[in-house]
Amino acid sequence: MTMNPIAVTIFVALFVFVTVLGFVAARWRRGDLTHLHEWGLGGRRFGTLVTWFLLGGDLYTAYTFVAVPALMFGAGAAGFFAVPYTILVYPLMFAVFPRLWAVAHAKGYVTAADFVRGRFDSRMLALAIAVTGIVATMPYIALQLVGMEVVIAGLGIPMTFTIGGIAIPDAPLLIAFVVLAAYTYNSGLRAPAMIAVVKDALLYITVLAAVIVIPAELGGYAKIFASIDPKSLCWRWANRGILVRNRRMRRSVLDRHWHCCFIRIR
Amino acid sequence: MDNPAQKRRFRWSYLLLLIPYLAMMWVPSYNRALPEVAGIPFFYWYQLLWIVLGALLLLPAYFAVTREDDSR
Repeated sequence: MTMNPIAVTIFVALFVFVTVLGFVAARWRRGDLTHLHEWGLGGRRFGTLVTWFLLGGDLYTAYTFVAVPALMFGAGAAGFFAVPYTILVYPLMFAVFPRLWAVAHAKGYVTAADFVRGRFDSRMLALAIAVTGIVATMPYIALQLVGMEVVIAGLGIPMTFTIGGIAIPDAPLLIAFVVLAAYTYNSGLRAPAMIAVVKDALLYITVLAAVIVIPAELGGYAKIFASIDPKSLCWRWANRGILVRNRRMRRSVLDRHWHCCFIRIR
Repeated sequence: MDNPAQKRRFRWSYLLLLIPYLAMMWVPSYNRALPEVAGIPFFYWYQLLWIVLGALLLLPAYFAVTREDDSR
């Protein structure tokens, strides 16, 4: 793949800008970063707006922009689970998290393990929660790394760099991850919170492009959906088989609609 | 352990939060392609619509909580 000079320039410029922001963030709403709650929670001083940006920047990631669309491309309607999932998670969080925040704030808890230790008075349970949290994050980080790899490869940047005759695989990925780790170590939660403002702006541009520009280029939503295999347009129960009734209609103009409308569980 | 949560009165507005669960988990109710809106099959625009509806159903509970915080 050849490099697109404009795309690579924008990518590198944004990367440098975000890196500078990540390190500068340490001075934002200055606090003693040797304290864990200052480093890990921004001193609990983030207001509604900053938290909104931080959540937006943290929830919508390579998973949203690479993994879910890829799943939809491969599996069809089943990949759309991410939308109802999001709809259902917010009320749940709304019911639970303000209370959790209040308790954690009053008692000075920083991590979920701190809360569990305080609530259930068990060091072992707290340890189990902490270990589970770290282990469960691993596949998610792996997914983000794969996403970064896809993006970097999509720009046409070679993934293997040869320095002094030694080939370093995934060199751009390694550089990106080391830089990210460095400013997160340096600035704590202030780094992702500040970067989230840039990230959210980019997310909005991407969403608007996906909703307006791409359908316009491809000839409208109707044309896009018409080109999808009718069998993957609606949800089907895996391994249960489907019954497509009214087979006479299959060759009609309404082909794809009848497929969907007459799907029943056996 | 001090637990003011147990003394709190029940908030009826929280019941509204259950509605998105009923709507979204009843998959057969929206598992169809028709009617389309702007070329988008029902299955897709209906779920996207529920993003907005879900947010609106959160509002009464949100206002109930913030009013309580203000009066405290």
